[in-house]
Amino acid sequence: MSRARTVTMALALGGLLLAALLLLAGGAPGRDATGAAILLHIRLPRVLLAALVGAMLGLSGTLLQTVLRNPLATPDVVGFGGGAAAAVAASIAVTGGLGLVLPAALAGGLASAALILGLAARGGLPPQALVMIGVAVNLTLLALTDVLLSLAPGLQAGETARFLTGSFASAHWGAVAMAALVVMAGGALAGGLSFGLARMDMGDDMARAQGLAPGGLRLGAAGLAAMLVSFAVALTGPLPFVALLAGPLARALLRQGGPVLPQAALLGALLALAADLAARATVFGGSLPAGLYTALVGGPAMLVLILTTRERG
Amino acid sequence: MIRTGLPLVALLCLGLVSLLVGAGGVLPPGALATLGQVDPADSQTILLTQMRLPRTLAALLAGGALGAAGAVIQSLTRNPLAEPGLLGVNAGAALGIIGTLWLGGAVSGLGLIAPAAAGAAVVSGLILALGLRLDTGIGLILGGAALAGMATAVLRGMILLDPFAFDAWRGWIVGSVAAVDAPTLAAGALLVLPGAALAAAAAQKLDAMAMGDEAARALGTSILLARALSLGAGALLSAGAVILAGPLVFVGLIAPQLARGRGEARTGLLTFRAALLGAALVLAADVGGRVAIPGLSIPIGLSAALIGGPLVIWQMTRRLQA
Repeated sequence: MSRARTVTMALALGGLLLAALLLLAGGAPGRDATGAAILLHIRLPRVLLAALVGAMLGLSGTLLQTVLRNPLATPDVVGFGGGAAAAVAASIAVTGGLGLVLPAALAGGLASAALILGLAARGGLPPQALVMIGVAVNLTLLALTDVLLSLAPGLQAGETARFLTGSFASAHWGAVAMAALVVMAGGALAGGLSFGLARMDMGDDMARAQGLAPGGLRLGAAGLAAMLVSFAVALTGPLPFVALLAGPLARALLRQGGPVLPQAALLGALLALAADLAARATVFGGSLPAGLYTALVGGPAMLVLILTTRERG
Repeated sequence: MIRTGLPLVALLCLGLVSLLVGAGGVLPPGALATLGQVDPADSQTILLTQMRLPRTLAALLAGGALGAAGAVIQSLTRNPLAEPGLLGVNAGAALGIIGTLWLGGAVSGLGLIAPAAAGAAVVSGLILALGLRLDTGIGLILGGAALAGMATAVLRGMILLDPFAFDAWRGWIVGSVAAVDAPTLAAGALLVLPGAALAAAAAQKLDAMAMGDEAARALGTSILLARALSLGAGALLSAGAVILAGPLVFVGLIAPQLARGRGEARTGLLTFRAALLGAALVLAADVGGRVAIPGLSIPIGLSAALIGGPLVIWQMTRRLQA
């Protein structure tokens, strides 16, 4: 128990340290009204949004990884995030602006999750079926997104391409408020599921023997994961690999299995903050969005995870 | 027999239609006699030999290459979801092309062949290195997804920083054989033909591996050699297809599954059938895109994604029910 407490405290402290660094990045703001406005309306919402969206992704990833019993089965790989991204690309291509991003991302993410869960639902939602069908659906959605990017007129396509690489640069207080609500509601729901989830780890039969319904639990957790990742895509665009890394890192730090929800959420926030710190750097005369850095770090980390993972769903 | 004969007949019919029908009007079958003659004064021969013939050949070569590559990679990984595009080879080729455009400015068709092939080769090498340390096919697929994710991230960075690279990428990603010229065709063939030879060599090794790696070792087959041959064939074939037609998804997934059907066959025959079916699919998508809406040419990438995606999902659900 003390190890869990130490890890949690260390993660929280690390997050606060990173947040402080981010508030000061780009020079300390002046003591006048301009400096205060920069701090209050630009830097603070950006830091808070990064932490909250990172927490959403961490929660969403570890929920799906736990119920599918595969550390590589995350909302990105299984097509939940792909559905949200494809729907946003379509909404930008049709309306020419970012007005419908939130409803489109929610509708797309939930629709793709419903499609995948519906197709895989036979026989109590076996994890392997969900992964296989999810990968196929994800592939289709990625191809459609690329086609949309190619066929849309230049301006819309540029807008879509920028959106599809996640970034916290356009954060504002409205988005922060919504993210906070989502994290609180999602965290509460996930906490409610966590008792069952921890017992799912031992296999469907063990779970049934303890009076749990594995199919229903899996459906609930997958639906919640889809909801969280859709909100994350709507608020900042896709941040690849954050959902993948948070859960396994938290388990490695804690040296225990199970859903490890609070620590995974903290680690997701930490990863997103670190990516945003990297995004402040000047590269080739411009700055690159945070989603790019999470992909650059997350890809190799996923390869390491594949090589070290022995258990299969 | 019928699984080989039927695609062959379909391929011949589609080839004829592709030569005779298009946005430039329908030609009489007698026009085929003028094939190969170059008469600058006659618009019909120009249409036939300089526009429709290269386009048809490119579609045939690209489709055949994708079908064969998919068959070899699926046999290697024993995974019906595997295809070069899924293992990140297409993303590697795209990164090679866009990286060259980004660093070197405007480079025309032929200059992009080396970078595309290099990008595909680097990803294939990484996948091979990964595959040597893994026993299971699903790890290979997920490793491909990780590599593709990284390559796509770098590519996105380049196209965000450079509007010209973004436009080039947009023109390329959708997949089309509309503007293929003779040098591109030659370069594609230079990659596809050695790839086909490698695939034929790999097919024999893969038959020995069909019973599992242990059985293959007992039969004296080198697993390392079989993997290297298969991935080399996959890399050459998919790089050739990428140069000819852009990144076409799903053809490499569907063609081998259709070729396999219910019965089992030797990998060599399976690869040949998959190549025929792949060529027929791409040619059908191209001809369909030309004639579906008069005056508008739908790129094959779009028709491939629209038709192929649902087909793949349907195949997956059917397989899981069985």
